Amino acid sequence: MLEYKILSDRELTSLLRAGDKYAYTEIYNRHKNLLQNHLYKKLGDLELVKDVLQDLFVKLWDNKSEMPLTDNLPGYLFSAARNRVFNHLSHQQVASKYISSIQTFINEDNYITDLVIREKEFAQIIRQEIDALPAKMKEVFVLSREGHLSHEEIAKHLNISPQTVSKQISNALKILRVRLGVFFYFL
Amino acid sequence: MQKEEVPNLLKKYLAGNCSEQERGMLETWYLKYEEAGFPELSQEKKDGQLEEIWAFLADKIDLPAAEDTEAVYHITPLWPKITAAAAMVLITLGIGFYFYNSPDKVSSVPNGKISHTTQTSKNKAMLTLADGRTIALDEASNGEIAKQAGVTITKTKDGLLVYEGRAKESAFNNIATPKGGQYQISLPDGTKVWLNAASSLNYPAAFTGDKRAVRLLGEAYFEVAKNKEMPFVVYTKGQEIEVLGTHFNVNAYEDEGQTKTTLLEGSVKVKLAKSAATALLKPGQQAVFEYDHLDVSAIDVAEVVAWKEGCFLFQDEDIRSIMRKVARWYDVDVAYEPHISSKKIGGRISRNKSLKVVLKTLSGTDKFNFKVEGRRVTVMP
Repeated sequence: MLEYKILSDRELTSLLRAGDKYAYTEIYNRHKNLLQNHLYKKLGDLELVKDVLQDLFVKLWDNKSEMPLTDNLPGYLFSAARNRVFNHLSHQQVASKYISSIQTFINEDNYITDLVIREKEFAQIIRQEIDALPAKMKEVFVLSREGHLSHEEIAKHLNISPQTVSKQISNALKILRVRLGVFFYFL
Repeated sequence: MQKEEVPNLLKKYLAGNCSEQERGMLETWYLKYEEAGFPELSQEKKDGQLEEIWAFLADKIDLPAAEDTEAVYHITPLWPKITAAAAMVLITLGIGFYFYNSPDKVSSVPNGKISHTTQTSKNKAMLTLADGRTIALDEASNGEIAKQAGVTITKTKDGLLVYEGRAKESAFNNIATPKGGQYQISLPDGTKVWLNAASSLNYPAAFTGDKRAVRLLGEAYFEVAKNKEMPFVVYTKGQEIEVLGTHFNVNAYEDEGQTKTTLLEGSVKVKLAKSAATALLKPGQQAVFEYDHLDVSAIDVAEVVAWKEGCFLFQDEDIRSIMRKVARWYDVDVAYEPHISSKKIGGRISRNKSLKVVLKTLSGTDKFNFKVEGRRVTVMP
């Protein structure tokens, strides 16, 4: 059996297009937290976030064969999330705060027309999500990669179990992969 | 721009019909927009939501278990493990017994060569993980015995196997007993399975989808945990058994030429793969599948599940049927000389006894004699 955790987003996308359920599972696990945080900031309602995220992943499966073979899977998923948010807003009452906010924004006339700059800003948002990692996960990760401590030493240092250290590092690695992906393809 | 136009603009955006300028407006708004003053959520609550999403996805798309679903279940041996020292004592005693009781009815048993047929350790099984690795459960020492992508399998000092971790990539695990081995498993849904000798069971590390499906080769006794939403299905060669929660035994050894499904409690539906034949069993009934037909009759269930209690229980069985069971348990090959009696015999013999004792008991019927050469048993008139 393939070890899906070490596959790149591009490899996973390629497998998903062929209908691989494990690749789909790994994509979900790798990106769910960031997408959830992001959507929660935009929508402010966890139930709504759940519906949007669920819908997004169902559609991802349904339309897997039409997925672009991109190296920027987080960018693709965040764009898909944005479309779902827009879709939700398009059904809102005209008087809703979202519509009012868009209206005000448009009237201020300070939007960016350059797509490349917008995309860069979008990448910035994704990075912010990454920086918003739980503090412990970050600490463990830094001690491991920059302090060159073994899992055992970190466990002693932070007074947690070695299993927790391994788990935190694997989580951080996942996220780092996302971060590198973003750096590579947006900057 | 009028307020009424904003929803239309969004629809236009979604349809991909926006001008570059309109697209810029909406996307820039999205970049800047953030809900103000919403409550900070606990990680538990967030994780809970993600698990709910996964459960929905897994259901809809028929996916393996979620990464965050802890799959913990146990594999328990039927009997306490007998130590190697005890085994040595038994073997020695067995040989001693042989020397002091030279065979009378058991004719011409050669000297020695019987130690391997003395049953000592019965809790033998091989666990095969989804990635193809195999673990001998009887030899594995206590503590962590394996890691499969995210799942740690630990054997406790009581011989219990515990799965801990994320069952995401578990797909199918397989547990197989050799001849002379037997093992009990608790599946993730609480269903208990007793696996008889020379049998194997293929099962997922977590049940998802609309049914709980397992595949069986050989013989097993099932105590299926009730779940009306998710029927439990046992696939054997050419047949499937669907149940909601019940106790039953399936004997599907290839060399038996028949598949026997015996119900002890509840109800089960037996269905053939290649024909429309189905049978709904009542407790005490047995369905026999042979070639292309299915026959149902009332039988004595005690005989069927005697193996589970550590016994051979024969009721009007011919010697060939009896010897197939003996061969599977003592890991021997059986040959027949011409003119073997077709007389049916009955009786109860503990499977803890050595092969020698079992053969002696059988020969006590005065219908048969036996010759043992290494791993080969010849039945003589």
